[in-house]
Amino acid sequence: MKRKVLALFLVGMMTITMLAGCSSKNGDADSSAGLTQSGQQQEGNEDQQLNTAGEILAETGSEAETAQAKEVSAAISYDVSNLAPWSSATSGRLSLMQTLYEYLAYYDSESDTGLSGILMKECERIDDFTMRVTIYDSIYDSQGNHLTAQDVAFCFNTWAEMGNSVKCKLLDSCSVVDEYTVDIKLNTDSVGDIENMMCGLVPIVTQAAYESSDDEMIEHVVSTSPYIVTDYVEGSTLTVEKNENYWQKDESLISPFSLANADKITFRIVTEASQVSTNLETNVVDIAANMSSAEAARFETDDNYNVFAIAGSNFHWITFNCSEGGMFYNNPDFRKAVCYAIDAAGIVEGVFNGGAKVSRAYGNPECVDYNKAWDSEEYYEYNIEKAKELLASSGADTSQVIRIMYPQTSVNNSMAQIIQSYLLEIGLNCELLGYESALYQTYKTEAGEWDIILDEKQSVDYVTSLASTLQVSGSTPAICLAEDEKLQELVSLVQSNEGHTEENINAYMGYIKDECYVYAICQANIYHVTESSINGIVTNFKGWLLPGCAVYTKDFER
Amino acid sequence: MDKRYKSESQALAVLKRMSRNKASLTGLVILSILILIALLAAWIMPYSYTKMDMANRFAKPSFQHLFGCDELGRDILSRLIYGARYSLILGLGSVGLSVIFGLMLGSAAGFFGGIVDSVIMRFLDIFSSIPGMLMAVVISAVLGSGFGNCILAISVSTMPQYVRLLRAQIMSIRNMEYLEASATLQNCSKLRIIVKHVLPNSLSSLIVTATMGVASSILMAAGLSYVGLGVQPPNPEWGAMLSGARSYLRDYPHMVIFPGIVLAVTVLSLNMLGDGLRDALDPKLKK
Amino acid sequence: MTKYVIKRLLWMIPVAVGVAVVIFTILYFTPGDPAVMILGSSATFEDRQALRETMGLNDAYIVQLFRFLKDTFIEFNLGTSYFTNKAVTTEIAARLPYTFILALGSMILSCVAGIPLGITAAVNQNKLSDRISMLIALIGVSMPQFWIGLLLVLLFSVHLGILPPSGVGTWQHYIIPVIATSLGGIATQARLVRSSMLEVIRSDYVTTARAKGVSRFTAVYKHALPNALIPVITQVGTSFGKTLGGTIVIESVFSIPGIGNYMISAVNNRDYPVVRGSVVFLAVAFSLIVLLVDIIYAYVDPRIKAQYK
Repeated sequence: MKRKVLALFLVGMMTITMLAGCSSKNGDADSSAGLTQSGQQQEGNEDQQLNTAGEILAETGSEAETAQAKEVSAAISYDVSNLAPWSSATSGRLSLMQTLYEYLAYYDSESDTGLSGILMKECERIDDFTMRVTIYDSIYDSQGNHLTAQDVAFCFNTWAEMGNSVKCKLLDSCSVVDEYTVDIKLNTDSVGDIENMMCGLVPIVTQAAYESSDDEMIEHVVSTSPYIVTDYVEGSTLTVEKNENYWQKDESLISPFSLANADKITFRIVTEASQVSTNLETNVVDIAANMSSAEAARFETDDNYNVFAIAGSNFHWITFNCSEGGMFYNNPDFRKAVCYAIDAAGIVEGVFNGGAKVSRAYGNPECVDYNKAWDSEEYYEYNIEKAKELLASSGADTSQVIRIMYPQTSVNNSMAQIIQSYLLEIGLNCELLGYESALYQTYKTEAGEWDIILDEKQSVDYVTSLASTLQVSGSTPAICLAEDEKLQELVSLVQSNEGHTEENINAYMGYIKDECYVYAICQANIYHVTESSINGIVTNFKGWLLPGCAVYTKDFER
Repeated sequence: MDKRYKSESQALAVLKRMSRNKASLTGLVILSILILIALLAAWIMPYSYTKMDMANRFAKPSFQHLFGCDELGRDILSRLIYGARYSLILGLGSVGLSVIFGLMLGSAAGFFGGIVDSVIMRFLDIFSSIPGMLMAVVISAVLGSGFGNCILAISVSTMPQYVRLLRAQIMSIRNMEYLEASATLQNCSKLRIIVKHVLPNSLSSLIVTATMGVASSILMAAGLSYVGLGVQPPNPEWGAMLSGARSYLRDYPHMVIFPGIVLAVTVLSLNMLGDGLRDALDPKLKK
Repeated sequence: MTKYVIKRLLWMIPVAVGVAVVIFTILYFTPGDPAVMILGSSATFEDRQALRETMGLNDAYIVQLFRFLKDTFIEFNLGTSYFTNKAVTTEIAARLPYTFILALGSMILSCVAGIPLGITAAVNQNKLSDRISMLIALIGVSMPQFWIGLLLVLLFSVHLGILPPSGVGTWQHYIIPVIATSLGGIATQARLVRSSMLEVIRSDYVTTARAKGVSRFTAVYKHALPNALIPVITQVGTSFGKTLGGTIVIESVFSIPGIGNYMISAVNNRDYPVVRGSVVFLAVAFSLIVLLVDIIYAYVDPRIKAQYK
């Protein structure tokens, strides 16, 4: 099994794995990210660490011998209603997709194209619109169907036709070039969208298996993945078992996301957050994925568990209602006053118990086009005096009550309350409007419903992917509801392949900072907690944990 | 003159009977204290209920903070004291609203009978075969969460029992002779009859149901908070406090235990009072 | 009797249609757009409009209502979930057993615990054991279900380690949820049995029996109890019906994949077919249970049986 671990090292995660086993460095990484006392844990080689790449591995680097696990049980905190490949993305589905299916590729910053293959052998960018992808010629699904270019094209085109994602309409076509090669073509010149489809949007199955399935794979999944679904109780448990006939026979070529280090995995759906830790403590599950920081805190000091803290794929931000007639219309100083009054570090401490990182730009630092220089630039550093000055110079009417709207979650509830108390200190009164998700989605485009929005956004590939949120498209407004021609120019520029230059991106970031349309507050960690005999975990680029790829030691019995 | 004297003596008798029941008396005392606390909340809170103190996050109970502090460093005792307003108003408000609905529909059905009655009763059949909690959830979703909306959602979903109760009461007395007499003698309007005669007669059973209704409304609000549709923060409604703190049950039990105990004691008092009142008001159970 | 049952069954049709209209109307006016929930928050108005069009959500209220009523009551088709693409009827069939076990278990437990408490209280009216019995019954109904559920998990799963904390699978999984669900029922049963017993004990025939020299024990348990339990039947039946649709919180605390969990996530996702279908189904189930209870009642209580002859 040493070899598999070695394979993990090879995928460009050298720097992270090297951190492991070195408790002092580990401690540094932790304190800078505000992670709690892992350095104090004894021996240092069993420590958690912050996976700065947020992508693949949080290996603890223990010397303990690894072994194939027989039976593993993992708690996931979202309900899964549907296992089909191309249905609409819910958290529950996303947490399982990469175990159930394989994608063409995965993000790899070490590779020239930024991608490495899972089903894909190699790829080549033909022009701004097109990517040519060649897959391995030896791919078979668990029913023995041979996967060819025809199937890949079928998957992409069916996915686009189903239209369950906003990205579907971007695909022009996926056409067969030869038996194992396809051209994926977009109808728009946009950065990162083909890669996104290949790595996270379009799971690949064979057409034969899909068409012979009686339920469009809603329950009966047949895929090329190293795991086969053997039992599924909707809303409760999903059991998968290792496919002994996995198509990739050359172990050195198996992607880090297609390992099968456990023979059998049972996913247990535990939707009540406080019950996740109970399940772990009572040994019902061995792995608890996506635990809240409040729950994970308890395990950090317990030697029987390993806590893996990973920089999350989401960051929390606020935006202002800049529509005409809105409170913040044409008043950047007022907006800035609000930002300066908010102590992001205080939120990190108060809401996430230190398990988050203060943001420096509208996008996560893990993005490939993130400019490290932004980290040292001024970004609304907490300064209550400055906030008061700006507020005074803005001439804003401070007697009006600011309505802060947010989707109701326990994290948002706490954040909104803290922001409310910060704003009170500069004399602004707020009313909190926490809505359930559906209501929030409806109201966020309605100018009359809110003054400030508090929410989170995912940022995993390019910071410019989020430029679309500021773009006016048809009758859909920007998230800040502003009508600003210069902003529109910049956002469409940086989203195109041609305009995606460092200079333009800086101009775009600088402009939204100057105008203060959005304020990124912090990036929260994701916590995965395992029994101490599980020595390392692998998460995909969105932070979802893959129990099949985890590193099990000999002590792990089941 | 004669009538008033009689009703006073009845009330006295009820009170006397009730006072023999220690449990309901205890309930009454606790509730009176709670109402007093709610009224005086602004003056007796040791701290402001929204005042955050990051240095005191999760502080254990101490002399400074008798019940400790919550995840944002707010004094839990102060929040509970101020929260008494929210929880009690929520309970009383939703029952009050249900009673008003119940009165309108129930008296219309009971008094006018015939088609009005059947229409209202079929409507109630429809309404009460939709699960109450789901009804509350859906209505909260329609209106958005918030204090007033929470009251409305709970009262709509508990309304059918009040309509039924009032209708039955009115049915049972509307044919009584004194009503007919007053109708013919004094040429009373129907509304006048409802207000002057029907209501006082239905009052006893209404009080019992309402007392227990307040209890279950408070619990229902806690359930709504649990599914994310309750009272908005930072308002310290007890159910919202309780459900918001449940993640800290293991590490900082004081955050969950104190709101839980206060809520349970309140609901228990209401239930004990309700039981005592029912026994006292039930002529069949007279000793 | 048969005539009566048929009449009642026929009455259920307008009630079911009424429920369908009510729930449809409420959902129709509920803000929130299923298209956004499917497409995600970055969807544009145009994307959403297009999807709404294909889903038939842009049609007029009356058109949608009649389509729904026709599908439901003429074609007996509750539709397909927007999210899972599964037929609502299949889903209900898959999820009902869990809720059914929960409701049944809590019904049994509330009788087993509530009836003795009520009897004890009634027989010792106004004595200490009356007060204690009623207090026990009341304490259970005075705590929020999710709270008592989590506390029980702490006790039985974490500290004693004898029961699983959540999920389904074995009968042990149901013990904590059933206890948490039944607490309300226990109080209701105890109260009802107590007052009904008190009434019966005072009635002439028990007094007569006592006067004839029947022992107190025989008088209470042989003569009074069976009659006192008659009203309990109605209570048990209706509360069973209500529990079927009222386990939302408990199912969520214990991750039980029952109807309650199914409906609440459907409400949150604006999955209209699921909410409508489940509500209509539960309403019909509830009416059937009430009817069943009335029939049983009629057989048990000769006075009522006589009315139908």
